[in-house]
Amino acid sequence: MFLDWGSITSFYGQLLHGAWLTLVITFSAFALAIAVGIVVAAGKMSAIAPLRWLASIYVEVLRNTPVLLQIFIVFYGLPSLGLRLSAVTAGILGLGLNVGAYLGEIFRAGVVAVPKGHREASAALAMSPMQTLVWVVAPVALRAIFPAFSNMFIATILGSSLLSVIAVPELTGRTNEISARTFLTIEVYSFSTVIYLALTLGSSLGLLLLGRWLFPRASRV
Amino acid sequence: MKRFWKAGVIALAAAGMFAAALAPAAAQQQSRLDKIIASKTLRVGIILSLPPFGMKNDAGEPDGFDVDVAKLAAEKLGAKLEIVDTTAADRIPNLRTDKVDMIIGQFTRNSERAKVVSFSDPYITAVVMAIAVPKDSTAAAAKDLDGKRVAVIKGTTQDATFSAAVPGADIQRFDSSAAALLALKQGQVDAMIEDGNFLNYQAKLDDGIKVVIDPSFKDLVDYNSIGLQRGDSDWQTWVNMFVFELNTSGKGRELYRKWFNADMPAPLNPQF
Repeated sequence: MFLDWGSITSFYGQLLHGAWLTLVITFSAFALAIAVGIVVAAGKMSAIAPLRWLASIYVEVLRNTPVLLQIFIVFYGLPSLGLRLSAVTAGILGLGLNVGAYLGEIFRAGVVAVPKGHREASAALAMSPMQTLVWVVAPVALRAIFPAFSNMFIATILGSSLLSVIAVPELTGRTNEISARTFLTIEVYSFSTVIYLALTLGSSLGLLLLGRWLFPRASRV
Repeated sequence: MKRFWKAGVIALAAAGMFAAALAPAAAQQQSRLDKIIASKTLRVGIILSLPPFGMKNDAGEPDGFDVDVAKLAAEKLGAKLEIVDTTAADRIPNLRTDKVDMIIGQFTRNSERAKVVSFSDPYITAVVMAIAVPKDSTAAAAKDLDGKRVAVIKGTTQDATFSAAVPGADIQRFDSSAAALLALKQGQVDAMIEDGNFLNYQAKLDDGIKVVIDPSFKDLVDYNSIGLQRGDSDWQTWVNMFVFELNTSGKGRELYRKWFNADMPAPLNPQF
């Protein structure tokens, strides 16, 4: 077996195109996941019992079944119910719903972590519940959950590779396809590994800096 | 921050070392044929998501045309058969990384592939390009699929041929024929391209789809072969002898009849 690094230069464009789609899918799915997470967290902490049950069922079902299966159901299963989504849309929906379940638990944990005294102090200052949430609870909760939140973003980048099985030409899909077409298996997979590392390490660094900017050392608990 | 950079650099260095470690395996000394006879184990890569060539039966056991051929090969070698499930795209990587002794997986031989792997004589024929569409589709030729969503399987002859013939089609590349077929049945694609054997069999099982053969592809015949690693002529000679016997003894035709209840689309004429 020989390695032919020179030949893969002509595929850089296609692989970078795949990496771009990976980013688009990641950001879209994560945005959806944040929205889902907020709803789930609100549901789990709701005063209305059936809402709490619904949110718990959602979290437990989504977190205890394989995300690959969930993506299959969205892509192959929903058409039977009359909902036909393109592979990319189906993938974003499947991934976003799954990550949303995890984010919901993370958000909830953040709110629970805010000391009771903070809320009592807000009440003493006659702040409305909304004011309390936005100005007192959210900043403290967000700071507490930021590392877990960042990890979920990285997990979403890596999870997007699963969409290759429903023919989405993101980075892994492109890699498989080029590998199948050119037989430069080890060469293209190695190159894609480096791209994934650049994406994940770059995101980690970006999130780290974002965290420092949002939550300066002086204000940390 | 310093720690972050340190971790990042270490990760990248590790990736580099990983790539370097995968560099050339030692050249082969002993023929694979002797190794198989000595170890009494034959490892065969088969696509188990390609019924009726390769699939799992109700008992969960591998079954199908290619599995029957593999069983016959193991029997003739006096070896235990070890089936390695593969996909179309992973056939060549499996051979190159020595995960299997041979690939029996509807492997089309061509000069491009022959640069990296070797092929036996053909053991089955197929119409290269058949098109499966829903029953009510009006598509009658490849050009009718222009602008339509068409499923192909990554790394197949059909992918290469169809992509070149109808550049305007919205081609969706799936990992397995089973996945592509499901996408067709669920309306996620408008058509699917595979070889005639596979699609005719599927159309027989499901009234919802029909098979269309484009007139310009009608005479293109695939002579599918057993895939082998390059550079082991003793092993290749044995496999060719096995294929020769399969074709001349009528056993190959018999197996084809068993699975398809029809004759091969083109005859296999053994060379003497």
